[in-house]
Amino acid sequence: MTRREFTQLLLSLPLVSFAAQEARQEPSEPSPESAWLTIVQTVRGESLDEETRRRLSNALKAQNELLARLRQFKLPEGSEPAFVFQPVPRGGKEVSR
Amino acid sequence: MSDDLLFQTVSEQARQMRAGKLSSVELTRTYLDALKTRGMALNAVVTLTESLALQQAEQADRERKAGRVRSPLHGIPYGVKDLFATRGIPTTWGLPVHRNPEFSSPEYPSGSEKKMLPVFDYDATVITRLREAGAVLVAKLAMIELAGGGGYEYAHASATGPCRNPWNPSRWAGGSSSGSGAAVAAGTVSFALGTETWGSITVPAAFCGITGLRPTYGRVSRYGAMALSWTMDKIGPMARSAEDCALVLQVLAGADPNDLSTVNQPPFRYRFSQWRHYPFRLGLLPTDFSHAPDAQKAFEDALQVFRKRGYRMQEVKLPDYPFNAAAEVIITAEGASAFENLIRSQQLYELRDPAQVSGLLAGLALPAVDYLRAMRIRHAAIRAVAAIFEQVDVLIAPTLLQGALPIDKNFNETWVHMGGNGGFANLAGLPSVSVPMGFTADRLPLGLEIIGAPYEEAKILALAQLFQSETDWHRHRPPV
Repeated sequence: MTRREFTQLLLSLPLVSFAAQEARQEPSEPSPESAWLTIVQTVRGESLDEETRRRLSNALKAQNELLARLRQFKLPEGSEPAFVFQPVPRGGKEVSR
Repeated sequence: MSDDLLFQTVSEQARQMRAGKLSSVELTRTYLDALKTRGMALNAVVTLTESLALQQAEQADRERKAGRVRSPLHGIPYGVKDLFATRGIPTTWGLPVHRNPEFSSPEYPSGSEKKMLPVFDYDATVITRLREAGAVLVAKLAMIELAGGGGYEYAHASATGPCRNPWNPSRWAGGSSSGSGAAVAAGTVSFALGTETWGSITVPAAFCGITGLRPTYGRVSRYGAMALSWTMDKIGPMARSAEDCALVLQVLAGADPNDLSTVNQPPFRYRFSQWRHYPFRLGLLPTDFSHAPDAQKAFEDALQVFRKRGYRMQEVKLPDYPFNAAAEVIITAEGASAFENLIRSQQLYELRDPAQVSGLLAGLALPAVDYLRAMRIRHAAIRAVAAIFEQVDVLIAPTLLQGALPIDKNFNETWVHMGGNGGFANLAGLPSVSVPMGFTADRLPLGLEIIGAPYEEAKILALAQLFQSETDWHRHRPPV
């Protein structure tokens, strides 16, 4: 599957896990994506225009679904991530990479 | 000079140079003319490096006359995706030239238009290695802005506009290494460099009907290349044959202390004759052809080539891991960090595709613990994927199930039933080569993807070269 097709799939899903989260909430509580949206605005330090908010809200819904999928995958405690800290600095001057 | 020359492979052009029938200057001038005409018409070119190219070509010819030939790429003209640092030449990352966030610092003061252009004061390692191999840089080529890190919905998500496909200019060249794919296919460079995080070499290679190699993660130094995802980005050649990709990789591969991902790699050596009688074991990835009759026919024909050689084939099921989700989370998190300055600035809104804006912003809300979960899953997944290569030598499938898409439509409408094998393979850092395997009914190229175990580029390139020795799909030329 391509990256594009995968993200499209996420947006087209019924968002089961997401819906379940919403169902557990009191009506007055913000939806998860609106909470994330507030975080993005806070981090970025400005409010977003309506169109950007709409698009971002969709992107955050898809992202939430993505994260829910990953959380369903059980990992043994302490299993390592796929990178290793290198105590030796690389050569050369600091550049974009 | 004949157009045929422009569509020859690197090894064929090198042979003519060795025989004294062709000079690097002649070839370079001809490619520069082609870049100025059809390259520009396809929106494949960002910057022509004409004076540097002619200087390098003259030097290559002088050295050849003096008996010094640096490598099989000596005097061969090439282009690069415009995300590699090139000393003294603008580098745009697909953004409008004066908006690269890398250059919003005091060392690039406002003033003349020229000073506003983003210009690095050093060369990326791949540029240095190609220069030392005697290759001639003729152009920096179009790309999707920021290599599409935030996701994009339109072909016009590039400062140079939508990159047109040489097989049909109303179709897209693919992305994000769009210009590299189109320029090679259109016969405007001998080869090009692209980069892939998830699909950015293999997709344009398939759409444009060329051969594209995505090396193993850590095979080629990324020093001086734009970073989208530090643990997923790869640099690879896009060319007219698997043999050419091998020639280029021989120059690019190798440890570089400036990119620690490269330091522990085994050497890359390629000798095709070693593989001629190798009993390849092919693993067929599950593919749903129900909406792809053209790809099914082309793939069946490709398998027939391998059957005739007596190769063993078996269907292979991927282990049950959330490959795509993990890859997406990693790219989103690392991309949000790599482009954080841009995301926090007003320049974010100058990106051409609004989906990039929302995608990059969403990355700011991705919890660190979830990024680490994805990386932990990745660790487990690469072990499971490695086990597959105890049963088979390579995995094969169509690169994509459809031909190039219309250039003027939202991809959310058109990108359907496309297939693709990039999620698990990029997550696991596996090498892959896409070679032409036929055409759709409306004469758009289709690609065959061959995926190998880590650092087994020689094996996948040899199988690709064997395929190309018995088919002529890579010899077809677009109607440019």
